[in-house]
Amino acid sequence: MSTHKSDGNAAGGIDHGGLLIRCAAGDRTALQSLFEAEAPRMKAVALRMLRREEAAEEAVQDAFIRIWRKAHQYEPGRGTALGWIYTVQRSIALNMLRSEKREISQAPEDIDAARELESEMQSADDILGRLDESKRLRFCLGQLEPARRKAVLLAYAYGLSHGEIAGRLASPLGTIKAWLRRSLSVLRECMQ
Amino acid sequence: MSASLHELADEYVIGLLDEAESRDVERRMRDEPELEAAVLAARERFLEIDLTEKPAGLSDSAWTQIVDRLGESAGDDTVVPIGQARAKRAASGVPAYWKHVAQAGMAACLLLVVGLGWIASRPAPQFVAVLLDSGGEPQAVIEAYADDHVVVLPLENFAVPEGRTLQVWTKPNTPDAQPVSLGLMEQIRRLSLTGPDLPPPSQGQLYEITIEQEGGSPTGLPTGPIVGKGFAKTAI
Repeated sequence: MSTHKSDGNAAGGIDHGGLLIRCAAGDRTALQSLFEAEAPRMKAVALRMLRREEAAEEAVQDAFIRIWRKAHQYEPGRGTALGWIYTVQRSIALNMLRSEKREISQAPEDIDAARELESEMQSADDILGRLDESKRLRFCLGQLEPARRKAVLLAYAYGLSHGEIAGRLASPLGTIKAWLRRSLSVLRECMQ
Repeated sequence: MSASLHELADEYVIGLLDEAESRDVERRMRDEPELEAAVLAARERFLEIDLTEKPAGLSDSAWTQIVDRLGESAGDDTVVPIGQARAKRAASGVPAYWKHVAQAGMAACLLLVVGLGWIASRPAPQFVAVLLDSGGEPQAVIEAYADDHVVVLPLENFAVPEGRTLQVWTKPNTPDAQPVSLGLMEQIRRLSLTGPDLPPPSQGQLYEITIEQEGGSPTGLPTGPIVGKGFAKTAI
């Protein structure tokens, strides 16, 4: 099960949990180590969701401020430290995305939007390809029918809502909701 | 566990809930271990999608800007003692994490020292405050030293409810000063706390101990019941 996987080996043996605990103890060098190890990848996550360089940069900075302030809430043994860190980043990016959508509501000057939309659809396919073949997530996502897999990835990777996914996949909202519910349940069982 | 709990956890993690619904899940997670477990499992299930992202370049000033903003919170984030409390909690629940605790301890010990031997070798305090409860009974004595550290000497064995902690505060004698946390005390015992940089202690300065939620007051100011309060007097 994925929760047993060791934390941080992918990033050169960095002990993320230990660094978070040191952050909680007020050690800025620990925050800096986390920044050096994770900020570039966190920015990639933020950029994927927010699409704008400047917004992604802001999201990463906000994430590190929050990590610093909330590090005492991280509990070893309750999920991995990397899971905790990326949850902070994702939640900040998602909230920015939601407030952008509220404020801008499809700015017409964004000619690139259509092109980005295409790349977003393409990338949803690419995500599967870059996952580790030896791990369950790739296998289990691969079990889903392509359109349903895309629905899940558009939500997780791009922060799209039910309605937006319905629009992208040109399917009724009810269908998308049912697909997502079913797909998430299939993934849960498959990954147990 | 019910399927709907898993569904909720999954939808929360993959970002399908709106802001209000997400906040609701976060609130419920604190009291519902099953929901929390479902969320943690879902989080780990999808994490690889984020971890396989190709790193993106950051602006040169990103780290400096973060550091500048860390300072903003210096007034209300008494991170040092809270970190110590946090490390202690980790140790009591999960023995395997002693390694982390030791590391945290090394950092924390630079700023927070607990120990009678150490206290015994200190010079006399500049000020002493006797903290009284609402009935006027002495509850604790606080010795304040010139270097921002205080020694707390409890006089009563007041009960701290499960999941709560004692927090020690002072209010410097400067205009517009707000109470500042000197640290947390998880159980009644003599201990020494070093708070943030403060003006030197002075005659009449307020000290108090309150009961706060685990990890310390969420607002950075005293919120819980007062165990005792008192004012600094010169030690003769």
